[in-house]
Amino acid sequence: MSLLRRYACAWVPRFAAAALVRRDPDLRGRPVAVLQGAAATRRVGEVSAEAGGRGVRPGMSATEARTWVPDLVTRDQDPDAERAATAALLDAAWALSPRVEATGPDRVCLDLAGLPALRHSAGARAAETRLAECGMAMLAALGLPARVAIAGTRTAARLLAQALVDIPADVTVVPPGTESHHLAGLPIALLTPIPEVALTLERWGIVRLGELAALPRAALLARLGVSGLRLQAEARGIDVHPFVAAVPPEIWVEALALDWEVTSVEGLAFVLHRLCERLAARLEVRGRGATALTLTCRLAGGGAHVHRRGGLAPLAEPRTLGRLLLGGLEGLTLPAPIVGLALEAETAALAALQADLFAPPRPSPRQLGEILGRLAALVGPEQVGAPTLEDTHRPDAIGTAPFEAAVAGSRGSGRAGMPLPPEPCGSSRTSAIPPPGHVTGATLVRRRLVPPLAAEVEIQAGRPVTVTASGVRGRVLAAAGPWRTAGEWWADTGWAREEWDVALPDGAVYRLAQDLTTRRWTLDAVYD
Amino acid sequence: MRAPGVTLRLDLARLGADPALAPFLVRPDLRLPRRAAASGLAPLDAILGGGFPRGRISELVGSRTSGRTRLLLESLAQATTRGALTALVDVADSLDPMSAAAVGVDLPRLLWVRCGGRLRIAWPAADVLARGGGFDVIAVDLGDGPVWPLVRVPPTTLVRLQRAVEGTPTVLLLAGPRGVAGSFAALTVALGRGVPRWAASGPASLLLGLETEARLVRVRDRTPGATAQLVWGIDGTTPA
Repeated sequence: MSLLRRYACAWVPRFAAAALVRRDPDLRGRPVAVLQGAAATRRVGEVSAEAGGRGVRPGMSATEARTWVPDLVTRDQDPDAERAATAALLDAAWALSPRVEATGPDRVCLDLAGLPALRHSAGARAAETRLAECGMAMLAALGLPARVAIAGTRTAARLLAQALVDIPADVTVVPPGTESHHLAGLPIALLTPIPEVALTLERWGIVRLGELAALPRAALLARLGVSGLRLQAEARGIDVHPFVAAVPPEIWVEALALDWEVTSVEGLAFVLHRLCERLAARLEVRGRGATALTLTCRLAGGGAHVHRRGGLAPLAEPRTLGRLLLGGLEGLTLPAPIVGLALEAETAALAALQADLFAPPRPSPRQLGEILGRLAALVGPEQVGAPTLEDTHRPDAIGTAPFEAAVAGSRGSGRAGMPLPPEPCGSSRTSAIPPPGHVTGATLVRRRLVPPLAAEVEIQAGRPVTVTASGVRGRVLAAAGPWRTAGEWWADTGWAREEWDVALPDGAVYRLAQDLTTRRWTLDAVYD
Repeated sequence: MRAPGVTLRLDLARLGADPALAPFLVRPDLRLPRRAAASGLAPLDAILGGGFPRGRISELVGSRTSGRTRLLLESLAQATTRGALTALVDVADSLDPMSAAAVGVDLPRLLWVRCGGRLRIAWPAADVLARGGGFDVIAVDLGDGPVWPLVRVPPTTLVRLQRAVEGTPTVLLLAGPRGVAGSFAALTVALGRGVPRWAASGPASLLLGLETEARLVRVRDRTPGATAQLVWGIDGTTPA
């Protein structure tokens, strides 16, 4: 039994104008014309539906177009915005089917074979209609008004989608085997023949696809050559090219070329929010979140400033993304105004996490990501994390690990209402009730002095008797030691120390240490 | 119908204690008893009324070797043992993770924010943590540096912090050589100068433990002045 092939085509009419409106949502509903060409000879390239309905046509000069429509908004063509719109189109397609073909910047073709909802013949057409409507809604959420058609071939689906150019919010689903019947009434211009062929067909009186499809094949080959046969095959809804599946990109980029220069953080926040909204919508569609963001600010007069924010929990909320980026830009002074932005994201799957009913409340991964991002912007990314201990006795063997990874690794190990883990050795949290007014504890706690205070120490009979350091000076009232440690002599990190616990006249007890290789004394820590 | 001139007085405390009426009362103070987070030290909890109040600022004040850091770490350990997340805003980067682990802090559940000696960024960091929510204890260790920057902490900063934790289950602990929160703190514990205990004098001496006194110097719902003796010693020994 052969598998029934079904294809969907999503097409964005007036793509250049749609990409501009997606870039700048304030243009929605307004007549927009996209200008192409050099400054002196700029002509209208594409127009929005609103402008087209009021008489603006491609090829007009900007002045002529404004004469027809005084409130016409003209914008230069923005290749960055078009690339981002194409990426958004593909994202929506991949959300519906794993096999997607990018047949042009403004259209995408989906292989629907094998989709579970379409396996059963009963109700398949209704399911296909729902799928098409779902795709349209998804694209509308991404800022792209699309037309969607489903047919047995990619060519038929494409032609039927393009036939809906002036019928917004509609879908066409053609039952299997009836493609040629549905295509017969469509205009020949949908095939975009080369001008010579188009002129010939017009002279023959061929204006509909059905008329071209009915022409004798041999005679058509004799008069129009191979291109004529190809046109006829397309007019019959036959695919002339094999399906070439697109590969999902691993890099997520949204870019924006500005028509004005941004010189303040407020202005940057405004445009950055739009970039983040677009990127977040794409991430949401694909079920992914940004784990690192790279913002490239293109500066007037050349050059760029690159700002990176990494180590995030997967995030797809535009406001959070914007705040994280802006947090690192506060106080920044750039040598020139910003004329363009590009936001690139590294992504990971958005994991749906079930909160532990027995554990104390904790921030969600998104909240935590925002908190960590803002803290990193304040103190520096390497200054935020969970403290870690290295497997060594080296005194400075202290580091930090990413906090969210540490939390994920320890999730669920402690639960309210469950038996508590073993108490630390000698801790005061013992089950025995301590005598009134006293606690029994084991460990003496030290505070590190960062950096260690360089000290001058007077030694008598092998014991320190006076200590002089910054802010600390006097006779040693009591001392315990020495405690000698050494290790890692085989590496550059080797150490050899002699340590003392000393009570000084300021009332504090310090850890005094001598580096046995340099003979220098330092106050490393204070007991507290 | 009330007689003219008779004032209707509501006993709010009685109404709050009535479980049938509690859901209809607006003031949260009347609906729910204020909860406390145990400090992990029974004598201290006894004078604190159960522990540090949640949704409020508490202060630990003490000089070097007063036991201030030990109390701070005990509170963090108590929270992480329950599986909660904690945060430490460390102005002077003075946390010794080995001491913290020895006291019982589950290090992966402690978010350590090192400020590199910059007090001015410690406050916004604490604000971010408090407003972010989800942390059981947020501790701000103000370090042992000069006292004069602590005197100049703007009241607006403290108001923001107070508002950020108000109504949340978070304990905000400020620990420093002097108090900074003033009346914004619901509770202040002052630690006396710690008295070290040595095993003996001479070459064989050994630091055995530390004894200090915790005094409740500010509390809103009780009379301050209560004290608790705190003694810590090394494993298997009893301080002299």
